[in-house]
Amino acid sequence: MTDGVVLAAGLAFALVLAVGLGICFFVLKRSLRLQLFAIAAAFDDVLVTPCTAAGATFRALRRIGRARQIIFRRTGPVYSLAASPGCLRLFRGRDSQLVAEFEGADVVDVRVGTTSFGLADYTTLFFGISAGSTTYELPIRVMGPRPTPMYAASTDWAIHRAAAIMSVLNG
Amino acid sequence: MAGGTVVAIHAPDTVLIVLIWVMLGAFGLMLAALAVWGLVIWREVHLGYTTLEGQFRHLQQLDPRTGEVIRTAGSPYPSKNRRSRID
Repeated sequence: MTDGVVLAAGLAFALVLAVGLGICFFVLKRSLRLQLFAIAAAFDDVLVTPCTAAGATFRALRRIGRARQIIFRRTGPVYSLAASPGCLRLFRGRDSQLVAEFEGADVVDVRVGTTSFGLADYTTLFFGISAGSTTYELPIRVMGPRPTPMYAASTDWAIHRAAAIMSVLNG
Repeated sequence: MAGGTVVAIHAPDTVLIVLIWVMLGAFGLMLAALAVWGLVIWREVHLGYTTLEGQFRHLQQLDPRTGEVIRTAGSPYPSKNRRSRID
């Protein structure tokens, strides 16, 4: 194999990879927008925050579900956190299917931190969810201020958003 | 003279093979250490406590040396945590 062929194969591979990632990104972005529209259409006075999936979220939902003896659905790669007076919900999919629902009284507190995936850190809201006889921590990787997949929110923005969510929850 | 040349050609191969085995061994040790670490965490969680900082809020946190309760189950993490909390 000549150097030219190797170079061409490498470039072709990089091009296919870039196009594939671009398509994935576009599909996720469109899905998230439709999800936000569907939630806004279905609920009044709702504060919607776009989120991205994390293994820690799945494990936390599984723990909380075990304590409450219910099974939560998976969030999917992108999902939304909707806070309305007295209720915190997670939605997935273009038609905003309900993943989980928590009463405002069960949301004890929230703190802002990070969760990691490989070398990347994601700004994360850690909600304290009361279930059974204890409080579980539910990590939610937030994106913002624009609803764009893989665009992690800044810590300052996340602190303000966390305060806003608690304010909406407490009416 | 020819014998010396043969040694000069084969020596790098031997070094390379030894290096590969050392790397594989180190990788295996690292995997084993990770597995043991995971097993220790699983055992703690299974017994209903944790010694890890800032994890498993729903479990009580014990001091890894003395076994004293640092944090009760469900309560927020100690103030050492750099993250802000909004109640």
